[in-house]
Order: sequence, then structure tokens, then C-alpha cells
Amino acid sequence: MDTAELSRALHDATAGLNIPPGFADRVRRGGRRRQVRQRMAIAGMTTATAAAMVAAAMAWLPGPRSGPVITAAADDPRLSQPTHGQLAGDQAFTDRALAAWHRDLPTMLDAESGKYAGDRGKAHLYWAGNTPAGPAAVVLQLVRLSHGEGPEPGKPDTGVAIGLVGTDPTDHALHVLTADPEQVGRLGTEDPAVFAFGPGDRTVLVLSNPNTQVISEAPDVDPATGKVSRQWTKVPFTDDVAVLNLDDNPNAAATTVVLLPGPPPALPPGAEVRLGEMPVIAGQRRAEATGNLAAATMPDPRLTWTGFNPGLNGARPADTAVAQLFQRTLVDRGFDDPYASGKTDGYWHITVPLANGQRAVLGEHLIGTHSQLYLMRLDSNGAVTGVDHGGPTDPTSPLPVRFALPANQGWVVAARGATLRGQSADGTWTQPQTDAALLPANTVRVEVTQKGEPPVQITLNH
Amino acid sequence: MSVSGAEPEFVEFVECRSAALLRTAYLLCGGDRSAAEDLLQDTLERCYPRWRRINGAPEPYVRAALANAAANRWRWRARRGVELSLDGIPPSRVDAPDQAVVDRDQLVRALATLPARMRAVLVLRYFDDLSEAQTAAALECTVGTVKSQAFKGLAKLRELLGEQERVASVLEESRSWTLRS
Repeated sequence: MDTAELSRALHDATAGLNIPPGFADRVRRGGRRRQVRQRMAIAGMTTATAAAMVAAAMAWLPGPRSGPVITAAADDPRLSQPTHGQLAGDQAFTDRALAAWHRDLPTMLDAESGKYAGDRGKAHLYWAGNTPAGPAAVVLQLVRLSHGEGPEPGKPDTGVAIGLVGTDPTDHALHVLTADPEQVGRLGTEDPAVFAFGPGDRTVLVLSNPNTQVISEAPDVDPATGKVSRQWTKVPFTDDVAVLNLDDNPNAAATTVVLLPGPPPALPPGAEVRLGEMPVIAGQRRAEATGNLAAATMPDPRLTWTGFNPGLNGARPADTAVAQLFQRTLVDRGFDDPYASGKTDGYWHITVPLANGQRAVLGEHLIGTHSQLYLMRLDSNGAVTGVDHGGPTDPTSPLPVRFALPANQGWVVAARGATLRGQSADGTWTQPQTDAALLPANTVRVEVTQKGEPPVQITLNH
Repeated sequence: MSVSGAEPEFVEFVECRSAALLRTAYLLCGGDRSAAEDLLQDTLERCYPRWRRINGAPEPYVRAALANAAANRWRWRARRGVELSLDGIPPSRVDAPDQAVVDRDQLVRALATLPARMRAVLVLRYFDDLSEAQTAAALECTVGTVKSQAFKGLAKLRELLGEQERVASVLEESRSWTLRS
């Protein structure tokens, strides 16, 4: 295959693809909503407003944001507060932090939007302290916005830029780590400012705010049942700043942290909470501004088995309707994080026959930082009779999928592209199969052979 | 010009170019049509507020935004009904022989297994016909990175698709069939 053939093949593969009806209208409405949300936020989205919205099954809550951001209030009281934090008196550090701020801020704010139009006041060091990712500082400064970006579109305005100076893990030097031009002019003083930074973005710094009082670092998956829950605690503020180390929680990542104004609402089954805005990952924002995007790209923890939908042993492969039922069932029955900040469905489904005309659909579901295996059982009419949990997938394993069917009905194993065969306790091997196999319940090990590689034997844990 | 003043141009762009951009998004998303629609809609919505500030032709800007967003798409908030990729494979321009459809599906599947940025390089270079320099600019990396990612990506695709001539022969068969019909 040469490049011309690849080009032709790619065009052929997409030639019939067209946009769905109403797509342009949805885009236009969505774009307008973004504009409206900016202005609403400047006016101040109150906690009461957010709480009222939770009553709906599809709830909207203010979520964590990161900066630098520019608030609408030029008289922000934080500009005149003394510097907080254990490094507030460290002149050498605060000088370096302010130097980094002045050097980087125009680039960071201007990277995409062109909204920065110059300083209007002195930079103010709001907080300086030590964090697991090294010394860091929160800096505020009045800046001028370019035409049309302030609370009154079309008029020049000033705003308060809020940003984080810290150590960039890629060059170990002090920089303004965060920049999100879309938020320039968007946030009021009651909107959260949250920064995720350091190696793996695992240090989270939260400024005290009415909307950042309660935190959950990550969803928890009950290993026995597969049910999902979250633990909530008060944010441990000191001097109006809280520094959290996600290394203490292996299930947590910057994308799983949720901050709320108060105790979490009781959600109805199947609720999906939409946070006000996706938390922006500091490392990624700096990477976008500096062109080092490759360093900020995080791998998908799911198995990327797009379009892999086999039906084993005569079972009918899952179609779109079954895949949607799989996703909906997990959401409705508590096997989902209603605060999920990303797409959670998997790319593949394996269908196997069960006793009494039933069948089961095995797939994965992203919960927090790990993808979990779930089995949806269906009766002969296609109605859901139950859900079983199979633990997390391991994309790095030679055999990422191994699931013991209920009632001793066998094992489903899968490794995309591999030849698989199972061995029972008496040493008998099954016939080799490709990609996925339904093996007898007494299988004790599986041999996995990827093309061009030596066989690997995996012991099944009964 | 305010954003609202730029709206007619934005709407015209969306109406005229969305189908072509969806094809790029579809390949960037490894054949996941639902994700491709999400990606494109999200990217275009994000472009709306800054439309008037885009220097020059907007399409290269949007394609670059698409490619960069695709590399991080698993983190999106959007959650829609899942759509199986097998169903999402669009019908061919003509009713191609079954084997051709199967192999195009294999090509998209193979593309889906590549790392996101390697996939983006292949899509921008060989689907959108961007030059190495244009691809590097779109992905904010060096030309050397584009060259190496394209080389490795092609090698990986060939490996995944088996013998090198397979796609070519199927396409040839497809074209012959089209002529016959």
C-alpha cells in the first residue's frame, strides 16, 4: 500500500458520510449558548441557581475551572489582600514568580484569542506556597481586554487575570502554567478557579469560593458489585487555598475531581450531572500555548477495539440498539459515575449465548481512570435480566479481557488480533480461535499468540 | 465586527463544509461516527466565539482544531447514545463488492488502533492532502515529527492490514466493478 492508495482508500471509506439533519442549526445554537454562558457567568451564577437545576434528571452544576481567568470585577477584593502561603515572605521566590508571570502572561492569554491588550495595574501575589509539584504562586492582575471581550461586548474593558505560576515538568522552570483564553471575560468573582498541574497534573490547587466547598476526587467502584459511588469531603482550605495531592488516590486524576457548593444532591436513577465546564488541565493548556501538545496528550484507558462486535458460538452480534441498551442499563442501574467528565462508553461488545435461550453482552465502561468490564444478561425477548461486574480491564495485558460467566457457564476471553486457546485442568486444549473465545468453565489457562510473537500463557483465577 | 456580525459567514461555513469536516473527524475518531459528530460539533461551537479573529481561511484552522481535539477526545464531557462503528461505516459512493466494504472497514479499524497523533498525521497528510509543513503547523509539531509519525504510521498500517497489496487489489476490484456497473 503506497500513500496514493491509502489516500484513495481513506476517501472511499468516508465517501458516503454526511452530516445529520439539523446539524448546522445545532452548531449555531451551541455556539450562541457558549456566548450566553459567558455573559451569564459574568453576571454571577449563584449557588441557588445551580441547586435548583439539580432537580432535573439532567442536572447542571458549576464545575471546576482553571485559569488564568479574567474576572469582570475590577474591584476584586483579592487584589488588595496580603499575600498568603508559607512562601509569602520568600523574596527570592516571589520575585521569580512575578518575573515568570510578566514574561508568560501575554503569550498564554493571547495564544488563541487575542484578548489580552495590556496591563492595567501591578501584578498581585495572592498566594505563594509549597506544593507536591514544587513551589507555586497564584497571581492576580488587572489587565486590559481587547474590544468586544468584556462584560459589555464591543467596548474596551478591564478585568482581573488569575493564574498559576509553577514548575513546568517538561523544563523544570517556573512558568505561568495555565491559560484558557475561552474563559477570558467569562468568570465572575464567585466562579471557581481550580488549577491542576505538576507531573501528570496530579496536584490540584483550589481557591476558596462559594462553589468550591465540597470535593470528591474520584468515583469508587465496589469491587464486589461494580456499583459506583463517590465520597465527598469539605475542601481543606488554609488561607483560602487548598492544595490536594492526587497521588494519594490512585483512582483520581484531574479529570475525575468534582467540586460542589455544598453536600451533593440526591440524584434520581440514571441522572447525568453536567458540570458547568470541564476542568481544564493545566499541563495541557501550557502545552497548547507552547506547541508541545504531544507531551500533554493522555492515553485513553479503554481498549481501543473500535468496531469489534463478535457473536461467539452462534450468538447474534450486538447491533446499535443493543449497544445503546448496554450503555443505558449501566447508567440506570448505578454502574456509572453521574459526574463523569468524559465519554464513558466502550468501543466493542462481545455477545455469547447463555442457558435457556438467554444471551449476554460483554463490554467496557469508563469509570474514573479505569475501564471496567460489565456483562449485561438478556432474556430471549431481549429484556435485561441482570448485570455482572468483571473488574477493570488491563490494556497492557496480553489478555485484556477475561470474564467468568455466571452459573459456571464458561469464560469469555479476548485479545484483539491474537490467536487464543484454552487448557482445562486435565491438559486438554481447545481449538484455536481468533480475537475472542468462549471457553469451558473448567479452563485453567489461556494461551495468547499475537502475530509474530511467542505464545504467552495466562492463568485464569477461579 | 462582533461575533454576531460574523454569524452569517460562520453559518455558511458550517453548512458548506461540515460534511467534508465530518469525514476528517470520522477518520480522526477511528471510525466512530457518533464520536466524530460530537467532535465536529464541539469544535465548531468552540470556533464560533472566535470566528472573527481567525486569520485567513477558516478551514485549516478548524481542521487543526479538530485534529488536536481528537487527540484528547476521550476526556470529553459529551455522552450520547453509543453507535457501533460497524453500523457507522458509511455506505460507499457506489455499491461496492462485499469484500471491498470489509477491507475498507479493516482499514478504518486499523487506523483506529494507531496512537491518536500518529492517526492525525496520516489523516491530515493523506486524506486532507496537507503538506508536511501544513500538517506540522496544524498539529503544532515539527516537520521532522510529521515525517517520522507518517513513516511509522504507514508501516504500522501495512503490518495491521497484512500483505501490502491487499487494499490496492480490493480497490482495483472495486473500481473495475464500478466501471462494469
